[in-house]
Amino acid sequence: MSSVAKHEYVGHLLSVPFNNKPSAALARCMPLSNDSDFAIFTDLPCSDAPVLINFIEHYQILNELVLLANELWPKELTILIRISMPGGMRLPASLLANNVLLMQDIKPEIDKLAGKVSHLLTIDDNFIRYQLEQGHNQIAINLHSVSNNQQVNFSKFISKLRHFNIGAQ
Amino acid sequence: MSVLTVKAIAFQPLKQRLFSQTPSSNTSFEWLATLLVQQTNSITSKLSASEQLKINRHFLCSTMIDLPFTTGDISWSKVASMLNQNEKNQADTFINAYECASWGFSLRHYLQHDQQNTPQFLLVSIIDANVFDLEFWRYNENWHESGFGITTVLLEVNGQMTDELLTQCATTHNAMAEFATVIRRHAANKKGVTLAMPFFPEHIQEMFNKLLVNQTRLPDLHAQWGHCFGSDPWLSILSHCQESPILKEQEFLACSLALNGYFSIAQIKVTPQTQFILQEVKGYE
Repeated sequence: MSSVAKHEYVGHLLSVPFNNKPSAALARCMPLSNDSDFAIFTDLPCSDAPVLINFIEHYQILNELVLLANELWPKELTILIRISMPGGMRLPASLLANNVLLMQDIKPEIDKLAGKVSHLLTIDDNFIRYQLEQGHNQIAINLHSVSNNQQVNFSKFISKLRHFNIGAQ
Repeated sequence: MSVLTVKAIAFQPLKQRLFSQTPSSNTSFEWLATLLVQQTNSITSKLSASEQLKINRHFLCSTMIDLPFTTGDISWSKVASMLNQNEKNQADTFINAYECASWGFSLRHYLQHDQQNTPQFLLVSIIDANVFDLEFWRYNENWHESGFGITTVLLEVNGQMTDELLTQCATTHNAMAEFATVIRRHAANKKGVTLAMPFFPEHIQEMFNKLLVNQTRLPDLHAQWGHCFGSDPWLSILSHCQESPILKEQEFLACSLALNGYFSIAQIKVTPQTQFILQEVKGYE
């Protein structure tokens, strides 16, 4: 394995991502039909973090981040994104492209690919889109790169997050 | 001929109602993990030692198992540790974002990053089980009765891929018709290839009858199994080849479509040596 330079960022969704823009609730919860369904949902764990984002906005942010990453690291980029299902709606084309893999848990794949591909960008967010999701609206972004001159590009990428009210808590 | 050879397909049918009383997610997944490990071992135990060494990856895919993970009721790392305790070649990666088409997107990722010049093996398992016994998953207006089970497919990749694998997303709202149209166009250049389609209720089968009239298709087994999500094309091939064992190599297009319009189409080769294992239906005792 080549030597790997790692750039790391951790932030939070601090408020709604798009200021002064109306946002639909879009809970996208499956229909519950009988007593057992309701009992199961009552017993499931849920986060106490605020719901600041819906599915459309979440995919919009991921789409813009992936498009920017593809510009900053053209051709030699692999992206791993943690996505919680159900997705509720069709994913944008950028997320379905062949340099992206969407997973429930990206950690096993990072171990396999870091240092094996030129640039491995990972986006691991726990933005709560409806109350049953787990997490605290945090996001971790890492770049594993076989070249050690990527700090400027990584900083450019991270600066985009401010547009979505993502920052340090 | 396709460079993707199916070495084995196993299907473990699961009861629609798995439990008399829903246990904790931990208990459910321990039981499901045991079934998956047994199924994987039943396939790999028939391989020679040198063949076993060729197994490079094992992906686990699902369409409808998401809630236990989304809510944090269980984590993938916990399930992976259940699978990998002292056992070789078990699944270490879980992909459900592409729903019923997840197996094809897993394969695409693997082929991009792991392809070497020597022949190699890849395991893809597909698990769909109604762990919370939710009514939504028993019957749904989009596909009517659901069928549940665990499928494991062992594939050999031998050579450079050309157009054996299509992973796409519909661009219109009529994903079903678009899916059929893409299959028709893709199959038009492939002589002697039989379609293994997802299982759907009659009104959708009728659409396929019209749009795919010139293609040879395996029978739709919805009446027997229900819609078994990403497992359908593999169960279709397994059922066909168990009923009428093939005497020479035969090619199929395994096709899966997700509710949100993602689809996977893989041209695969089945040989007289391919293993087919249909297990007895199980529920949690």
